[in-house]
Amino acid sequence: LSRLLFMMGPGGVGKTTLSVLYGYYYARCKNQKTLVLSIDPSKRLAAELNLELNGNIKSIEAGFDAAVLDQKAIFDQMMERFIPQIVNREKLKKHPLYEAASNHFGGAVEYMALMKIEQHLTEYDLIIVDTPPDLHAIDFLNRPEVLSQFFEHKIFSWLIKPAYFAAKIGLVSVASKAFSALARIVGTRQITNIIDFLYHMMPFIEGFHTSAEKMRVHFHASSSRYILIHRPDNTSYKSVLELSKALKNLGLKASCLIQNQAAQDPLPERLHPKDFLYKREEVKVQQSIEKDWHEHQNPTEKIKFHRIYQWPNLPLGKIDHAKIAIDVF
Amino acid sequence: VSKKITFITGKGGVGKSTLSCIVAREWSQGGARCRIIEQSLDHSISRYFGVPDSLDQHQAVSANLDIINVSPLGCYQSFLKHEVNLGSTFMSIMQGKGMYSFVRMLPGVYELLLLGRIVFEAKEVDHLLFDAYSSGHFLKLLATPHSLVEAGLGGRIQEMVEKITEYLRIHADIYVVTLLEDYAFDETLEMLAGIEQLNLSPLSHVLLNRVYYGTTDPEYQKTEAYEQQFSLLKKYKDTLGSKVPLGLCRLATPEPQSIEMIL
Repeated sequence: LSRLLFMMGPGGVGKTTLSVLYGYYYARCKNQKTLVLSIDPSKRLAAELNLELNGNIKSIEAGFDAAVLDQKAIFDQMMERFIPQIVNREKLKKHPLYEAASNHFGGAVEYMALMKIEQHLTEYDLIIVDTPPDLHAIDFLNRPEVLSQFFEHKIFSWLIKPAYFAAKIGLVSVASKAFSALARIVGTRQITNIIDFLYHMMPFIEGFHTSAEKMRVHFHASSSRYILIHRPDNTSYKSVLELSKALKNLGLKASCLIQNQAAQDPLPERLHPKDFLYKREEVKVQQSIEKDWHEHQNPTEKIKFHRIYQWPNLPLGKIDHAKIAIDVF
Repeated sequence: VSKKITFITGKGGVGKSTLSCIVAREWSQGGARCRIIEQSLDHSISRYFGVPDSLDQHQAVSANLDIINVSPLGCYQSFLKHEVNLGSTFMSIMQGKGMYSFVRMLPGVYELLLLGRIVFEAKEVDHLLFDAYSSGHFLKLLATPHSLVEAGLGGRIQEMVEKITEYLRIHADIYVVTLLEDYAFDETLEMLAGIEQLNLSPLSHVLLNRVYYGTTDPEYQKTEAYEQQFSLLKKYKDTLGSKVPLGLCRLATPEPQSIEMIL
């Protein structure tokens, strides 16, 4: 199965750029068949690599592919996988809730991201996942747990299934208190509709759950890497500290902290005087962050610190990857 | 001339949180009661003001300004308490862990609860700023109420959706924060198109952050980048036309403490 590498951090620190850089690095310098997958709906990866937004995988060069998640496309594919009977599937697809869930609702994209990665687990040596900014990345990693909570509480057997059959024989009045409570909130006719949809979608949700559990195991595998990225400023550093804590709460461990876009140290001589003052401050900040990071580490489980300096403004395929990237495996 | 609710969005890293803080502080110093709401892991707003990190609790920054970081569970509980008036039997079922696991699993629900919470939190103050998600997630958030009605939900949810939509239509506007850089601005244009499609009709503004063009500092005026910023500024202004108001946030120092805003 593919090894997984997650690029995580607040917005604007260079997650997408580093995902592409590492894609080139592992494909060219380490001979790994690599997929860079963006699950961030901001589509930065698409712009960077000229990708289409239909979720299709594009070959960037030999051994290096890339794709952007297309929520709707993968939802439809998963329908085919988990609901094989065409009649049932087509009926569900016509349901008004289907369009909303597969295309419009927030929160569905995180489920789809899980499915997309799982779909390609056997095809690549390495999958680099370009995640959405901070909180949303944790939300994604936590999805298997959200699904498993739903199953642990046996919602299907005590709520959905009885309500479905009660409605079928026209005896909504005998349905559970929970059903009545929901009916008051979303409307009596509508709750029957929702229950009907969920009842028939159960194989799909169960399929998700199974895949999500598989992904959860993979998240915890020793071959998975979580890279925290920040820029040399205290705000983005604080954000990655929180991310690191949130990972720990999920039972995962950050592999290293990357300080991206760091100023050259020592500073080059030809600088505008104002730039010089600015850059000198930057260097001070980046050093203090490094110091703080090392001081607050638990000595038994030290997480490495890597600094990546600003590199010349060249297309990402043309830079010296071996010189900039640091092997994280 | 600001509306009651201001959503601050934009590409990651353009300075949404910092601007939320600066704008809220300015407005509150002008005498208006302001509140910032965020939903984040890193408590960036409370850190900016140096008040304790907390979830679902108001933290006072000054006499006229407070902040709150909300959680999914908090929004759900607030929804049960303030939006639906069920009797105590129903209430205890809805508050149970099982029911929450159900609600949490369903896509679209949390987004609605968050919007409901924003409207609720806005009622106690003159201005509420929401330090919102970046582009893609933000559009999904705003699209949720409409999608729920399209999907055929009714009852209290429908009432709530109508209330939220109407409230946002009248009382909300959106600030899209961006930079004087083409890649950031292109994403902003996409964002504006996305907002327009939603037909919510809150007013959008574009705020260009980290601008030093127009500064009186002679050192900056000599640099090449200064001229470059001017030509970009002109280009962006022409692209947006008169439909979308454009504001500048001038950068005073590398870590911005004060910002000059022209709206």
